[in-house]
Amino acid sequence: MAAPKEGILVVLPGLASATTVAALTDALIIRFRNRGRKDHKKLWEFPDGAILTATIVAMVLRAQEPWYVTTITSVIAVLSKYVFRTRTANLFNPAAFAIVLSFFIFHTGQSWWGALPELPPVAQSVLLVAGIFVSERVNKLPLVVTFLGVYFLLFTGTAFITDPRRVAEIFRSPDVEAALFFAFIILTDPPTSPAKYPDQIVCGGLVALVSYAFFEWAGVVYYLLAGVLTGNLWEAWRRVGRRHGKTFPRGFDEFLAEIRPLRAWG
Amino acid sequence: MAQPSRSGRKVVNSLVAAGSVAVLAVYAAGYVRTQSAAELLEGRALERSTERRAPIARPALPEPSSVKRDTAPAVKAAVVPSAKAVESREPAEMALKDIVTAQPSATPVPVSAAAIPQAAEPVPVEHKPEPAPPAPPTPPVWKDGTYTGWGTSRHGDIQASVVIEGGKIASATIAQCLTRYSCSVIEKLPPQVAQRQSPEVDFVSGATQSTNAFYYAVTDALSKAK
Repeated sequence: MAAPKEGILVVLPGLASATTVAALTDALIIRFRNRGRKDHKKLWEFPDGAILTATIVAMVLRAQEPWYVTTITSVIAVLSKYVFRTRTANLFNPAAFAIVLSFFIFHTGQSWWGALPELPPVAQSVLLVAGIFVSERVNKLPLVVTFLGVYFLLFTGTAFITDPRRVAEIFRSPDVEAALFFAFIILTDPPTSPAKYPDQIVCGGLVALVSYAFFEWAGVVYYLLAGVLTGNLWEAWRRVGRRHGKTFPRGFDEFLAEIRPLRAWG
Repeated sequence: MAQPSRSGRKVVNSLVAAGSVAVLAVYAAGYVRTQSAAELLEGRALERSTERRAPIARPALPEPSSVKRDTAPAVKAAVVPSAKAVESREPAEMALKDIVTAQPSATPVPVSAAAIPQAAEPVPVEHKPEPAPPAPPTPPVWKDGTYTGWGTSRHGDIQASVVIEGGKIASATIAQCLTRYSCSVIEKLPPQVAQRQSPEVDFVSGATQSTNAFYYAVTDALSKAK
């Protein structure tokens, strides 16, 4: 939907190559992993997760990024699922991790064109309805609402206390669409976000707080993603601790012991 | 995944609905509070894009009198292109080409007899214009030194440093990049300032805000050099 506005020829090469290469990479990794497992009847599996991850990467990165940057970032995202793991799930949201890493490697920018910021208001209502539907399906609405509430509360407070110019963009396109897209699509990733409502409320508040802090004090483009990566760490630590009968913040040693690269083969 | 009972689900749904209303209220308060600041930034960005569409005035490079006398019609035609030409050409490209055209050169463009203004002596039809005498050195426009200036955009601020030597821009650099995006996206812009002797640089696709911030930073620095 957003491609015609950005220019199909600008968007398509990155999107097509990213999804194709990421899907192939994930399919090969799954094939290799399943080879040694007797409980898997099928060697090949359809890499739907990789396609979704690559699509999110392409829709967040600046549309003008070269196709190979989007593709490499998507491959990094897929690989991160297997490199950083606890016993039960990947540690970080793959797309968020890869996009932040690509900022340091390629100095990438973000336009969040997939959040439809340049389309008429009807497109934003599509984003809103689709986002609420997805969040409801994965039972993460409290997480979304808490994040958005704390996020806008912090920036609104800042607008009243300091120079409003510093945070004016947060309330306007494309940043507001980016925040919604982030909350509905990235934050609610089931493997890396909490299931229980009280945990969702804590996680949503934490992600908003860290995002705000990165915006205010670091002033970097990946402030939202820095927030979700922190939330992912908190969630993984909490899960491992609970498995060992400990309440957060206890269980850090067990958490560290459980993070092992290439655990998927363990 | 947590599966609350039906009554628990109702409570959660009510809380989510109340939370959503609260989010909207907080967002609306922030939006209203930042409205004037956003309009200010938007106005500056619009002003910049309007400036680029209009022909660029260049008082910084006064035409030498010899150029005016000998090749006035040709120079005028080059400096004030037709409206169609202005629209069809990239403004920055236009600025550079026009400045170059306006300079007296060693190989002057032949001027048709009709274009030559009436002179005291009759002009032969086959007359080839003599090369224009070397132009006197352009008077310094800016004071020598190193000047810094700040430019603002929605995505953060940029500080530019401009070095003036002999009254001309010798170089320009990005001294501080406080935008949310890496300034490597606009790394090609600083050399254009010295090449064009102007803050008018190309727009970088997908980095309009950073481009604007750099433009305003250079403009601010140059204003201190006057």
